[in-house]
Amino acid sequence: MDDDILTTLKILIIGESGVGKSSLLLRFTDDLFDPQLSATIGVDFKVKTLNVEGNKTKLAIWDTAGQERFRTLTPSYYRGAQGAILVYDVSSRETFAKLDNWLNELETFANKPDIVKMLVANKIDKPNREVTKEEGLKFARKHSMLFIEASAKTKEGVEIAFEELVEKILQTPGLWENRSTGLNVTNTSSPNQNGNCGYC
Amino acid sequence: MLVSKRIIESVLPDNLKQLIEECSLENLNTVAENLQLSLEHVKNEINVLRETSIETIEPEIRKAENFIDQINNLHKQIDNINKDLDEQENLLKNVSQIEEYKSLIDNIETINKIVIIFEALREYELNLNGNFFVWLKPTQVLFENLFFNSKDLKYSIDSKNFVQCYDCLNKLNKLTNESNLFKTSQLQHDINENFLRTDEILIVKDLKEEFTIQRERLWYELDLEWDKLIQIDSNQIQIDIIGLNQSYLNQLTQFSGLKSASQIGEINFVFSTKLKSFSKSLLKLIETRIINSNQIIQIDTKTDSNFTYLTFNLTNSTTSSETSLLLELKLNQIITIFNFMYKNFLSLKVFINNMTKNVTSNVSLMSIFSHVTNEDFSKLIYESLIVNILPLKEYDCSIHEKFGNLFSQFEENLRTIEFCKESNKMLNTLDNLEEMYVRKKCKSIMETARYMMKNQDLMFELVNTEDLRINLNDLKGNKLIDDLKHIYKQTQEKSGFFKIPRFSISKFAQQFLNLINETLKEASKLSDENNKSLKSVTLFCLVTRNLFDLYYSVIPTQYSSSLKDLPKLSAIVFNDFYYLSLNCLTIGHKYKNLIHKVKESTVNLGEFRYVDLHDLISNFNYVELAPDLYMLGYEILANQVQNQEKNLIQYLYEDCPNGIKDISESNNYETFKRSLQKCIFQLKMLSSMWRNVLNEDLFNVVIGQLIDLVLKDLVKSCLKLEDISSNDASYLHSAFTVMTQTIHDLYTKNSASEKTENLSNDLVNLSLNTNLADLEACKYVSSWQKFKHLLVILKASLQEIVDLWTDGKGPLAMHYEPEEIRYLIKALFMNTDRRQAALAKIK
Repeated sequence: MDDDILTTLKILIIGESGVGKSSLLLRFTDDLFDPQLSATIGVDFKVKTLNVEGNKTKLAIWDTAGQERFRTLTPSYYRGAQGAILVYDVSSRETFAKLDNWLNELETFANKPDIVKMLVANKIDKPNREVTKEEGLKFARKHSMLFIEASAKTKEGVEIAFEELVEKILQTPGLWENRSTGLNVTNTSSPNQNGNCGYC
Repeated sequence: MLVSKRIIESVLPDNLKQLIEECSLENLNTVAENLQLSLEHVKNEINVLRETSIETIEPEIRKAENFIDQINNLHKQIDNINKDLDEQENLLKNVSQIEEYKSLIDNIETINKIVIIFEALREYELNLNGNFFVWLKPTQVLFENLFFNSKDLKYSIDSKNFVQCYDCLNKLNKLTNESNLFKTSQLQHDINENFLRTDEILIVKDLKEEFTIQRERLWYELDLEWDKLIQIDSNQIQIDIIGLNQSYLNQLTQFSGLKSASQIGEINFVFSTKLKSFSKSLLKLIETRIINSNQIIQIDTKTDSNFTYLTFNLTNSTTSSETSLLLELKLNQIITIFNFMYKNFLSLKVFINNMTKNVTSNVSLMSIFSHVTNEDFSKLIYESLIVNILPLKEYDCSIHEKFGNLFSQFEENLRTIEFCKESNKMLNTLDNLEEMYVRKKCKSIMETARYMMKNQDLMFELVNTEDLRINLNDLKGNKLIDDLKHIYKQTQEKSGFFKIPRFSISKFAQQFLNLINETLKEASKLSDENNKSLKSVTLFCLVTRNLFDLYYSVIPTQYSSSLKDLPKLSAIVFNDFYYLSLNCLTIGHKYKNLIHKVKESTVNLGEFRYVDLHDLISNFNYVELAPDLYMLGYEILANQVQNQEKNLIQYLYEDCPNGIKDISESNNYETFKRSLQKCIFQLKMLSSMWRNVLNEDLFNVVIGQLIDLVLKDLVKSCLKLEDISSNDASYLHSAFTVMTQTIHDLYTKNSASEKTENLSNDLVNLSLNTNLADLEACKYVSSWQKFKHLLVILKASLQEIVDLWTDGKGPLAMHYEPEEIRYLIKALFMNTDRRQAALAKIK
């Protein structure tokens, strides 16, 4: 089954405590991951195979599992990552304000120069929104990130966020390796211009 | 003829040759004339040549003649020398005769001397003992018979006629000292000391030897008599008044020319040795009963028919707290003793002989006593009495004046009884009163420190460094402090800058530092009050450096055994050293004005002349002590950790040498679990001992290092197993889970307390404590993640392992090498196609 997988990608999910990182991950991988495994070593790592435009890609998704609260993320956490999902809570301006710190840390420790970043505005189902979509879009554009609004609770935008990220990674030359040939493959298809998502 | 003709022809001029060839008379005449002329010419030439030759040869001949004359002269000289040699030879033949003559003269002289001696002996009617002449050799038996056989023993030491015996011995002494009896002046000089000189005549040696024996005997007897007259013990002085009145003490004069221990400086006195020991006893009595005593002694005199006494009795009254009053009391008591001694004994006039002036004079025993004891007495007063009396709490300048008045009176009193003739010597010493106080204080500080070091209770009583921090808000004062508060507030908010880390030190270390701080504070006060106190201030500062050195040297030795056996003590001592070293870094700044003055003192003070001390003072600082202090503490803790590492490994294997091999068989699991429990118990015990002692970070590092050692060993053991059955895997998982729970417990207890403050409450699916503990373990136990993943692998399916590897992008790849995972898969799973497929993915 694994033979037709194009590549394996390491994806990080980062952001302030309580923005819903683990919820996003669980929502995305829920049906595919062994619950016993997650109980043993925590919700810090999950694997999911994703089909993006006919290319099967295996995702190794790393969650901080609460470590971010103590600023103890180690450089090894970032090592080898091809994509990163930065999450903030639209109902908490503070989590949005701290995004700069996370970007800074990511750029410091990520060893791949062209790592693809996606900004996810989570908890859009909540009524007390403090950060507007425009603000999020502006921030993403400023830092050359993909942007999407999502809700782990309502599933909205979750799957598409991962798909967009993977698609962009596959489009980036030199960022990933074909499992069978080891050669760089550039997918020429253009990104899906969804209303909630755009590459800025 | 033909030849002659040719020769003639060859010398003839051409015109003559022509004439000869043309033979005619006329020609022949002409030839003849010419030949005649030529002949004359040749003759002249020959004459000239001859004269020239003679002039050349003549000087050489003269030289040869002179040379012959010189040789003749030498011959004559040799003859003369030979003649002289013959004469010398004849002279030498007569020398042996002269020596014989001289020897004869010597013998005669010797005999003369012996005669003189015996005549003198007869003249002085000297006969001390019947056996006296046993030593005389047979050759002198004649003289013995001649002079002494008829004499009886006139005076004897045994009959206690000391004065007469002394006279007799004095005569003998003078006799042997007579200068004309001996050949050399050197002999005269050493006359009484070197009995066995070879160039002395035998009888003189014997006489001197006899003199020495009798002199020593007499001295011994005299000393016994002295002891009967005056006795000193710890409670009283007893003087025999009757015996003293009949005494011979004032009638004896010392033998002249003696050079021995019996001298007192230049003074030669009969009782020199006795007086010295007597003085020592008296000073010892004063020292023990008055100077060193903390109790008040009552001094009384009493007299009975034969004796007078000075008694020392303890009273119930306590010593005065006022220093000068106490000094006055003690000085008065000393004067009382001296007065008693003077009145009853030491006023006695005796004969002494001044060796340099060679005069005999009559002086009081007190003045000799003073001469003997002056130095020791001064020492006693200044190194003991004043130092004992000076209070330790703080130096009070006013006592200088009070002491001055008291000592003036004391000296005056001493002078009236003929003691202490040199005035103001003692008073001059009082100029150093402050230094004496400082030296006493320094000594006391060192003693206090030593005492504290011996007190084990202080070592185990803990003080947290947090409690020792100075609250800046309590400081009131100038702008500088306000500025400092401002800076402190700013820096404290940003980081832990300027903060001493939080850990526990022993009560002892706290008190030890207090001692140092108090000393430096007193030094600062002293230097502020009096600019002339530089030396005292320097002494104070030096003693604080000594305290650090003392600590460094004594603590590891004093507690060497306990430091091995008690892990908690190792941690406390490490903290103490650490705390002291931190203080070394700041203490110099705290007292910077003082230190600056001390550094200057080397310029102004000549007293610190030793090179090392001079360098130490000119570069005075505490900072250089800090690294050594820290490193020593570190070594102590490191040694303890090493010991614990050995213990843990020992616990793991002492009961189950095979470790985890075949763990599911028979009792292997129980044995291994018991071994692991031992390790866990030891880790928990260490944790409970160190947790509240060490700084939190250090505690985590140290415990982490020990846990890591055990975990690494377990992982390594697993990676060595060639086959792990499903039962084995299950047992291993069960045993290892106990270990993970322990580690969670160890790190939970101190991590949960503080870090939860700023956390939001809506954390999803996270057990807070577990995660915090897990993070701490990740941070401090390097093989923690590897161990945790080993637990997962033991329970995981092949697919799960492959997923966790995820082409080297999963968490397994972060902690394991592909070879290790492949090895584990081979040990855990049977050789199937699925296993082959899984192995192929791990690369």
